Amino acid sequence: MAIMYALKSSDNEIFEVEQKVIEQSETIKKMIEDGAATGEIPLQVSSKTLAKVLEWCKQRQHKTVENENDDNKGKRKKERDEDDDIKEWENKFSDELKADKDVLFDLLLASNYLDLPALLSFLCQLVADMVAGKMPEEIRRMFNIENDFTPEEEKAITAEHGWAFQP
Amino acid sequence: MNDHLTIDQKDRISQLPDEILHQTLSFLNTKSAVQTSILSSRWRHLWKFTSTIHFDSFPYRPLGMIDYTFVDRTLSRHRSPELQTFSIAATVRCDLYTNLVQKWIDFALARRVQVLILDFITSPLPDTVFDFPPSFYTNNPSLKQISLGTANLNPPLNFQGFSSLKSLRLRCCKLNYEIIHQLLLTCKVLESLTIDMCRTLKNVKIFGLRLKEFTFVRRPQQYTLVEVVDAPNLVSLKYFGSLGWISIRCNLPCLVEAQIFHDSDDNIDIGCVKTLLDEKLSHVQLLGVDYWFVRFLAKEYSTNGRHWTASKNMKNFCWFGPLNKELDLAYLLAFLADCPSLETLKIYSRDYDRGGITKTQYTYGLKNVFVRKPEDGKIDQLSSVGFLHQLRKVEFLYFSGYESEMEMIKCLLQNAVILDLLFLTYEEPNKSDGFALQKELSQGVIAGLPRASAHARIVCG
Repeated sequence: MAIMYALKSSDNEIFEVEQKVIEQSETIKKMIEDGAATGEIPLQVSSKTLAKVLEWCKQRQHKTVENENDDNKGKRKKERDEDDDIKEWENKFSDELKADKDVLFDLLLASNYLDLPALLSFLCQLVADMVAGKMPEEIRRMFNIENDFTPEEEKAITAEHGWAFQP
Repeated sequence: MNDHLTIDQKDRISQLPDEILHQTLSFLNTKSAVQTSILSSRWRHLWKFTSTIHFDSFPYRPLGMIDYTFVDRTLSRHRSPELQTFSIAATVRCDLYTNLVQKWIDFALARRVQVLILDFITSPLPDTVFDFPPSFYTNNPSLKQISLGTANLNPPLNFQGFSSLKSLRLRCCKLNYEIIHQLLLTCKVLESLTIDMCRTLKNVKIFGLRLKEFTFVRRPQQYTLVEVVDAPNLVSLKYFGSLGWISIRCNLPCLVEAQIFHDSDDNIDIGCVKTLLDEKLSHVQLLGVDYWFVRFLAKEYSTNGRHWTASKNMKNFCWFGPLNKELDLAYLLAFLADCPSLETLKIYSRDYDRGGITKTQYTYGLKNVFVRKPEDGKIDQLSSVGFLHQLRKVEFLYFSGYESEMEMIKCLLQNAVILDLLFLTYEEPNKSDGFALQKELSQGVIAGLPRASAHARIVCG
């Protein structure tokens, strides 16, 4: 029988989660190891974000379990198909986040706070992909970044890194 | 001040902690990362703390000066004390860059870089190579992965090896037998070695307890004798060269994947190839081959008439080459009948050349009539008990619409009883007049073919 933990979101919703799933979070793993995780574990993460985090963790857990059980070389092919499935799942996950950037940023902060390196890296890559190949003005518009440079400052920066601003 | 803004208009990305933004910018090439310094004052210095340096193109002109000092200026402003990756992959002018490279290497090593990629294409003299500073051979405990193009490797006699190096790729480097020997002796944890079109290499002996992957691509017109002498843990072997010039002198019990390509017109020694396939590669689960294989099959099936048993456990088979001859197809199908465990089949219906698929050399476009009437087809007679019965997935890439290709698809669909997926991509002809129509037409024909598997999906990419 799997050991379950109760996670409490900042808006007081309880999530019952298997230890193996939630231990991917270094923060929670430490709490469990230190014996600090008795009863409900209160987290500074909203229920909406936490649900998303757990969605990710469950998918990852599924993947690792598959690989551990896979002592038979003959299963390699199946594994490859599953890799395709994971790619598909990740693409869908990314598309949802790109469509709702607030969820994306909440998730970034949560993955940092919960110390989930794989999720953090996945999300950073996602943001990098959104930025890559875009002009500064497009990036500002996409993320509502306000340009607070004076024209002189802006000129100085472009002069400093002239090569990077050439096509 | 922002209170009146709805949540959609807030600049949330700039409020993220520095570490997250540093990590994000580390996924960009250095040019894009530097560009973000103009976004706002919050972004001004963020790029200086990326864990990667990545230049993927340099300005190039054949004559006159090229100013590479922007690299040095950029590096001098970078502030990360440690680097995960330092990568420059660019075309450089052979007369101008070599004295700069040493500085770049020293910069990377001083920041305890783990992945060092210096993959230059030198122009106009493609054989120019660059030297390494002596520090490269001594001050390197952090290096895990090295990938070099056009380098002149020259380790000193007292070279102790790269103690953490797991992966080494050498492309168009100047090498000799001793250098590879010394590297394999001293780099004790090396798992992956790629020797790609390297010069001045007459022979090479491959060994290593930890070695898992070995890839060799020969340089055109150059013969290198490749001997695998002791690699008990080798999992993957890829060889692109002349078949007569590879010799496997040990058993490879862990080998899972073998790709063997014959890139010359040299005659094939059928006896040698048979020994290779029968004794050294019979247990692999994935075999990839190109045109030499049907020449071999033709000899084997027509002269000896025997069934091929070495492939009875093979689960994945990749074929690289145009399927435009009926006879080739017949031999290939006969071979598939000798692969009762086959689960996936990949067909790259194109010439495969030196690690990359070349642009089409065959300009024939789609034909109007694809499918022969059943009474003409002799392929069906090849079907035997269990033929393709484990096959789940077929990938057919660069389909052009030849009769023989269509026959192949027809045969696969008719016999693969548990097929899940036939994935098809098209070769776009040089003259694309009417291509869309032809494509649609052929898809219609394929969709109408009888299928042995009720749940077989056909997906066109």
